[in-house]
Amino acid sequence: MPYRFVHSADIHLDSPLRSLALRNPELAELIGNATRRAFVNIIELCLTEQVDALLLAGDLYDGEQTSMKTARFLAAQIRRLHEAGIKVFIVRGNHDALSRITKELTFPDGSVKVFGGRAEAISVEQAKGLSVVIHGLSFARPQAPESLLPHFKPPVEAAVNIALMHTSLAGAPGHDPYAPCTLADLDAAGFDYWALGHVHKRAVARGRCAVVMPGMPQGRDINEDGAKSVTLVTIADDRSVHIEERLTSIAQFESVPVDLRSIDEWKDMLGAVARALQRVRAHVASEHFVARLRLSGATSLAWRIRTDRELLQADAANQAIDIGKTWIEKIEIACQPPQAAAGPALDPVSELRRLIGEEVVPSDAYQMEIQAIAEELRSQLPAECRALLGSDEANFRAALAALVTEGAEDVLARLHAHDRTDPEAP
Amino acid sequence: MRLNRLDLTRYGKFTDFSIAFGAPTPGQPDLHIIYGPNEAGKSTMLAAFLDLLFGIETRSRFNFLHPYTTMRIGGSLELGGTVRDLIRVKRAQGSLLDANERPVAEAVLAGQLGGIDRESYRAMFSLDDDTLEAGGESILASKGDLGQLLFSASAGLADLSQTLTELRAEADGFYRFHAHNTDLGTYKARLAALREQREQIDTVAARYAALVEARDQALQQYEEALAARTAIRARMDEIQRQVSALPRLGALRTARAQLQPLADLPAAPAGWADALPGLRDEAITLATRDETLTRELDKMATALDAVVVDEAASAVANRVDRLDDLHARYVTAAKDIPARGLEAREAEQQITGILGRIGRAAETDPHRLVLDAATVGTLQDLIAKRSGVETAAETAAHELSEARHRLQEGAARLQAAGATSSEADAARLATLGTAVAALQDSDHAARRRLAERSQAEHQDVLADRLLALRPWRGDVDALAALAVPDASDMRRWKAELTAAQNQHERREQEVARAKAEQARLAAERDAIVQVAGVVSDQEAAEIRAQREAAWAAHRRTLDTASADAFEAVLRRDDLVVNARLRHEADVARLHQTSQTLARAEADANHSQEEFAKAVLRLQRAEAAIAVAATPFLPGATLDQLEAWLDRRGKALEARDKLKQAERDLRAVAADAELLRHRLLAAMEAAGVAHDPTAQVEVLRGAAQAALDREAALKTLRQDVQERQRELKARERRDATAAERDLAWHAAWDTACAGCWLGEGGAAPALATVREILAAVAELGPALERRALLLDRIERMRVDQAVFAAEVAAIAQALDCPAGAEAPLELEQTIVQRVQAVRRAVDERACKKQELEAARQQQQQLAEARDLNARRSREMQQHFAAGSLIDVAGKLSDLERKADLERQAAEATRDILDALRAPSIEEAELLLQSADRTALETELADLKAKFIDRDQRTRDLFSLYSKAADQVEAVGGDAAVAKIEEQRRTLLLEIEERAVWYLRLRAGIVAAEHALRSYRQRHRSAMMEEASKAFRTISCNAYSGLASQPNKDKEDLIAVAADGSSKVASELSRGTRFQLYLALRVAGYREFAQLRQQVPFVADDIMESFDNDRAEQALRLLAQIGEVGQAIYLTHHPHLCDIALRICPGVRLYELSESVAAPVLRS
Repeated sequence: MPYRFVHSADIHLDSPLRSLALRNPELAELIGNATRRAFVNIIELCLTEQVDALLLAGDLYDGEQTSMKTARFLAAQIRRLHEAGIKVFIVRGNHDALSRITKELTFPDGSVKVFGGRAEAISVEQAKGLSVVIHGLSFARPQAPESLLPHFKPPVEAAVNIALMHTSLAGAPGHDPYAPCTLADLDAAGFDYWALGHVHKRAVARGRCAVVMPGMPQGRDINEDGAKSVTLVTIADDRSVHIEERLTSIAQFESVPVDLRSIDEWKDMLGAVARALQRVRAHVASEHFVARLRLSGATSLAWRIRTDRELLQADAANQAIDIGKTWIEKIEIACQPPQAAAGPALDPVSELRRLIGEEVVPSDAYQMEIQAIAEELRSQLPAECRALLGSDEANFRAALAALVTEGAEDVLARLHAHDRTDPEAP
Repeated sequence: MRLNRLDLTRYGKFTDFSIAFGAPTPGQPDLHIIYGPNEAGKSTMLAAFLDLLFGIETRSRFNFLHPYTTMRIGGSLELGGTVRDLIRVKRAQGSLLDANERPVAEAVLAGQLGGIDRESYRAMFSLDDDTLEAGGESILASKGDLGQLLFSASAGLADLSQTLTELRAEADGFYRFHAHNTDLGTYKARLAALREQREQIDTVAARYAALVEARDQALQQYEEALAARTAIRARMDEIQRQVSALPRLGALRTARAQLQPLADLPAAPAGWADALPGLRDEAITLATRDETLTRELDKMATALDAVVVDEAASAVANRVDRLDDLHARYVTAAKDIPARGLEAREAEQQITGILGRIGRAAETDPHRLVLDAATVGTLQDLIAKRSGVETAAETAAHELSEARHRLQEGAARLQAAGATSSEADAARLATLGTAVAALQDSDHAARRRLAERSQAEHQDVLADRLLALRPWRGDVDALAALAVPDASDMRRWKAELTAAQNQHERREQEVARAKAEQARLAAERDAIVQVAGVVSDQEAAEIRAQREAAWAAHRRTLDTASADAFEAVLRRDDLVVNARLRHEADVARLHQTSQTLARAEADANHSQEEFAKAVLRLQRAEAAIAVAATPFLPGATLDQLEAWLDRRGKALEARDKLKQAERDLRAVAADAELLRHRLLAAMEAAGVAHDPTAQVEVLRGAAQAALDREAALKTLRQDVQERQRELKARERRDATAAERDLAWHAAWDTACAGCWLGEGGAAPALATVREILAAVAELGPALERRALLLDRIERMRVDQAVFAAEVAAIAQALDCPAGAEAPLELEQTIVQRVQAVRRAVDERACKKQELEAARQQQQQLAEARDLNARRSREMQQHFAAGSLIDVAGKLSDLERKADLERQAAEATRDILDALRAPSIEEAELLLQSADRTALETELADLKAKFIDRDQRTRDLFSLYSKAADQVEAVGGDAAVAKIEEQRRTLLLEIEERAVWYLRLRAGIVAAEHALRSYRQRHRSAMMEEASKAFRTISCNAYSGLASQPNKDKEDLIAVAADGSSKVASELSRGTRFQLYLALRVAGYREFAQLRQQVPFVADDIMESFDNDRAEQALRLLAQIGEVGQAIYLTHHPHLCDIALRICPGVRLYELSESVAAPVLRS
């Protein structure tokens, strides 16, 4: 009898989606609570596939998550697995290491194993032949600067050894390492399957053993783009490991670049937007597609795009509606007027643009004024938004510089719109 | 943009007025001066120009002659290299039209105006005194900086600051320091509301733990209380069961004692107890029935033997049945035969009657008389045609005689009318007819009347008009021969007179103005001399000359007297020099005034001379007119002369008409004579008697009478011919009718000969045949009916004979006496015998059946009695009983034994149930030791305790229930997650708006900085330009302009040539206006450089400029003309002269009321 299980991690249950698209109440209704729906999808998958176990490799919810409603929901879903005779193995991650709600949860007896701070190896009896041992180790703190690998129990001879670990692997720049270790170490440790968690993007390495980072089951913002999934694993009687990826995300975030070069008409631009959306939509596996448009290229529409931003947003949203289950969360504009630098020198707006670039922005007086405005606003924002312009001085200055460039373009666009003498322009 | 032509089609006082500026001359300034006196329409033209560009103003004041609906201006404009003709009408929309009246987009003009609007254009480039001053004042009074104003207006970016302010307001909508109603505030409030909402519905982990603990504790307490309550309840149940088991033990023991004697009784098979009584009763019933049946069998056998059957009757039974049909026919025949015989006789009588009617009573074979259908048809057809043939013959004869009579009548009438005229006469008379018709068609009578009337009228008119020409006298032919001036002479005199008068007026005004100016300057000079004691240059020169003379005298003599004289003169000179030094400025003014005065005097003299020339010209013109008019209207003015000539023309016109009327009259008389001659000739030819000298009307009457007579004769001849033709037709019709009558008689004879009707030789008459045909038609049917009736009677007689024979045969077979009995009675007897034998046969069969059934019953009864006896024996043997009565007793004992055993088992079971003991023995042992009283006491005690415990359990359960509900109420729903999601979205929105706000602010601040910088640069360029212009206009009295910051505004300062400076507002009016103009000139250059060239138009803005400065100002306009187009409107002729002098390429136009288009003067 083969041993089958579903491996997932980083559920981040009830962690809200971070997208302005949710301002649309209709969409908020459709994809709100997406992390919950994705989790329900995982449970349904376990039940349909009649697997033996569900492995959750950490970060069931965010650390600051304190609502017992989240825990109760989790418990209710796990009870469904219990009723179907499916076991659940859980290690904690950095996020839920200290979670109080886990402590208050009661799981059905014998169905759920939450690994603690001491390594354990649970033997799972199979009806015929295959003997399976599941290893796990949680670290009780949000920080784990050292590798956890040496603390694991040795693999059991003649059995299939599956291990759960929450690890940042080699880590990523700008992120704190968590239980760091290398793929090579894991591969050499003698286990058959490493069920990992922590990194939100899926990665599978097949060497002597299978090392799987399943990614999260539901992305929450544009930084967690792409289709999200879990891993369905079948270990055959001959101990061969078969891995399938199964989609779980309800909604999927994607960046959609739109090149507006040589487009001079508003309706042509909308056509380009629609085509770009359709192109991406064709590859989006999730039901809902939340798009971030990035308009770029030199176009005579550059001024108008800036001044009629709201119209653009509405028109783009209509194009998305026509495509179906497609939504625009934001439009980023990186367009410039064609030959902006070589415009007629006597055109006042062109001269203003040159003055801004060459004289105003580099001046100390201007920089100080802008900094004062930014600091004043920052002090008035809600605490959650204070880090808006970066957490340190360098980031702050960089963010401000970007704002200045954009802002100058916006205002020039408005002045240009006012000054426009072309009678044919709308 | 350039204005090539301006049309004031219907605008203000102008109608179809047009001024063309022509194409610019390369290398020459595009400068145009339009000269026109007051009221000539210069301001109207200026307004029209603006209206053409920007649309006619809603409440235009130029509608006093042409109402709004008809107002129209137009022009030819050069727009970006192409020339377009455009028209402007007064309309809310689509007021700009092309040459084909099709609407043109405003953008065509707007695009060429560099975005400048009407007000800005008016303030900057379309100047009159008002706008020059108002615009200038606003520059000076401005709180903003000067550069901005100039820059804004000239660059067309007046609203940039406005846009920035709007953007700023937009940003402030999100956040402003210490402001409350900002979007950010709203967002924060919404965040707080969401937080509060979450707190209301959420349960955090710690609170949840407390809830769970409370629940578990309540559960434990509840379970403990429940256990105690259950223990009491168990003990109470036990006691209750023991008490209830005691009586059952007694019952058990009683049953056991009663069972003892019945122990040996053998058990009986099931059902015996029920079957026994039935068995006994059955034996008795069976015996009784056997006896009765034996007796009945005997009786039945006897009755069967008694039945007897008649065999002979039985043999013929079937033959008798078949008699029924014959019987029926017999009876019918007896009734029917007499009736049919009667009918046959009636038919016979009818036949006899018919034969009598046709006269053939003796006919032996009436069938022969019946005629076939063809013969009858032929005869009837001929009868029907007879009357038609007869009528036709009579009518034809009558009409023939009528026609003969009428012909005779017609011939008699023609004879009476004198039938002598012939065809030749008719031809001659036709010529006469033509002549008469021509006379009738002629209109000479009417024409003569008209001509006579016209002649009289025109004679009167001519007489009147000749009278109106007085004092001239003479006849009309003399008038026509008179030599008078022609139209070209008149036009020439008129133009000359008008021009001379205009010149006269203008020169007169100029003289007056020059004299006034001269007087003013003289007064000004005198004032300077008197008030300040200034010595004029001339005077000073004289004194200096005296001093030099005295010095020379003194040198010659060197005596005291000469020294004194020299001293006196020297001192006087010193005084003069000192005074002049002291009043240096006044001296300069005096100097200037004197010069100006000299120029004014020269101007005045010049004007005076020109005026004198103009007077002379006027007099000459008037004299020339007077000379021309002398022969017929001595001493007339031009107007009088013109009127007299007009009247002369009318008189000559009347003469022409009179002559025409006389010509008409003569023509009519000639026509009438010609016609009369033609008529006379025709009458002669026709031989009509007449008087050749008679009037034309009399002749015409005679001719007409001859024509009428000939027409009457012609009619009568035609009538006779018609009647002859009719007589011939009638004769033909009469012959046809006779032929038809003969044919009918032949056909009739043939038809009668073909049948018995012709047997007598001749054919019978038509009436006879008609009657015979009617009678013969009835004969056929009567014969047929008689034959049918006779046949039916015969067949019925045959039926009667057959019936009688059959009845007799059957009677013989039965040995019945046949005798004289009628067949019907005999049949009756036979039928009765057959019926009797059938009844006997049926009775015998019935009795046989009954006997057989009784024998079967007897057999069954015997079998039943046998079975009953066997069963009785079996029971008696089982119980060894002598009778069935004994058997019944044994069965009753068995029943009682079973009942007792059941009672014992029930008691045992009850006891075991109650005591829950494993066996009855143990139970009996336990009960023997039980004390009932003690048990009941304990039970009462326990009941009280139980109630107490029960209540406590309920209370504790309720507590637990509540605690459990609270835990459950936490639920796993997504309410909190949803709120969190909303909060997250809200935070994102705040961040987005915050970034937007910062971006906008950064952009606004950058734009403001850049705008300041931009203005700074352009302002300096413009200030330089304005300085240059001001220096030029002020004839270098001022070296230029400077600005000086003053708080939040800038003051404009004029720097004089000597380095002194004046704030602009303190300059004299004229100088200030010059400054304003300088600013406009600078602005125009900036605008033309950055944007477009547009026409610069000004209306007499140099009123307050002296000639020198006006000259310089015109120079600047000429410079503008080098860049674009400059148009200057003025009523000062000297400005035209100056312009011509400084700029020979200038184009001058003179605008005057009486000239439809201005005249290019240069």
